[in-house]
Amino acid sequence: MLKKQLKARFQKVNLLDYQSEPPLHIEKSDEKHRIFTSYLLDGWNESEAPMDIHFTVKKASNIKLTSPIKPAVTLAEQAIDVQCDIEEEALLFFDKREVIPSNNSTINEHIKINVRDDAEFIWAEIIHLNQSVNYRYQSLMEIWDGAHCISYDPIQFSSQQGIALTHHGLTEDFPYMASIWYISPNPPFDEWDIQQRLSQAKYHRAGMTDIDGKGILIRWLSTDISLLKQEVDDVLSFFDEKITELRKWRV
Amino acid sequence: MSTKESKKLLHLLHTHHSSFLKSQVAHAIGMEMYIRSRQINSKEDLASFCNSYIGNYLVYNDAIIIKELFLQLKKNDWQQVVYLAEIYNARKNVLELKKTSRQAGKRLLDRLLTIQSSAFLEKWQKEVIEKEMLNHYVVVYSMYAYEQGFDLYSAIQMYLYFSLTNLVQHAVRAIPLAPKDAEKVTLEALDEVDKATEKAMTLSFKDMKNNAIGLEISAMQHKYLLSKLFIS
Repeated sequence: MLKKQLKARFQKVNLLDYQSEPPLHIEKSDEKHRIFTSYLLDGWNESEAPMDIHFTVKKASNIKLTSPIKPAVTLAEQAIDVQCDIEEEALLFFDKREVIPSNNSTINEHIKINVRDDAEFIWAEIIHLNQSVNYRYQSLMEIWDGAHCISYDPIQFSSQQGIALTHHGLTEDFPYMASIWYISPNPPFDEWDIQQRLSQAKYHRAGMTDIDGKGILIRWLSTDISLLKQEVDDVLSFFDEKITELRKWRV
Repeated sequence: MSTKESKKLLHLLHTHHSSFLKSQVAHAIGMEMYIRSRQINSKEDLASFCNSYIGNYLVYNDAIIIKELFLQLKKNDWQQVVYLAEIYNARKNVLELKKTSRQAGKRLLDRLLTIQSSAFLEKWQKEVIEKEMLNHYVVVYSMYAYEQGFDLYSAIQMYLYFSLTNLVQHAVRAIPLAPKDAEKVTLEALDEVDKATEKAMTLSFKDMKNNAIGLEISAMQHKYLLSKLFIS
């Protein structure tokens, strides 16, 4: 099956060198924001052909990418390769994405991000670990700052590992997992600001770690999808608020 | 086993032995949260935790790195050796685990270089002057094991075995467990160590994976405990 490609270069308010093959496409969203130029990225879930997405975020641009709200159940085969180069002072905010594996599906994601100097990157994802469907989910998140690898996270779940994963320390019996990456050499908040947004409800676990001074990673395992979404949204809104406070003064 | 092989095995065992240097990294900080929340409260729970730790966490991360480092050292591809150390460092998501692994790596490297000369370790020492963050225990251990001519299977097996015993030793004090129960857990987990080693021999770099999310979250939460039993 031929690859579907999408290529775009984001400047502060313009989209340059934009090339896309249906069903992949980007369009400016109606959402008005004080600092972000917001775009809708659509088509991820509409073809079984491998997807190849390449973005460049030019210096000092603040870009927010959102997927349109619709049932995000995956197709039987999904292979997505995302590569982003984020230049100095730029910020790419990939809004929350939800992956719901369908029965007999194979999902393969490779996200490779290159951040230059003080560039910032935010990615949020919720994955449904539904044991009643047959699926295989594989995702590799690679984040690089030149030759230095900031993070290398090859997640893999499959319904066939079901019993093995219930052991202590793995995904146990939790049906939902979420992650937020905020890559920045100077995140505009204190770790306690995040900690107070993570609840310690029963059957819901959350933790946050510093990534060697290059950003933070927040992870959740939960049985309560509404609480999980609420917390992820709360953290993302907080990021938005802090980023706006800081970047609104930049020309 | 020939006398020569037997001597090598003793040498490898000694590298891990606490009388040589107690530096093997455990995932005790992740385990501590499970013990505190009483999810690990019996020998059965501990056995379940050890199984996932050996058979899922270590085999798909540390064991693969040992194997790949052996391969690249054999090819004399130093650039790939540094790349693998870079990936291993980035693969450890939790900062506290990174720090203890580096601390153990530094101690092992310093100790080994004080007792014998080693071309690889001396080269590595120069490399980590500017890249201290890459100096993880598993990297130093793999280089030493390769240079000493230990076979890959034994190097992985011993690494897994001593990771297991170290974890059990920590658990015995924290749960607490009777010594005989701890022995039972260890002896029963030996099968898992063997299976994991066999599995690791069939895996390669592209098979690295992370599904130990619970362990990761526990290690993240550990930082915020007011009093801690374990620090590594």
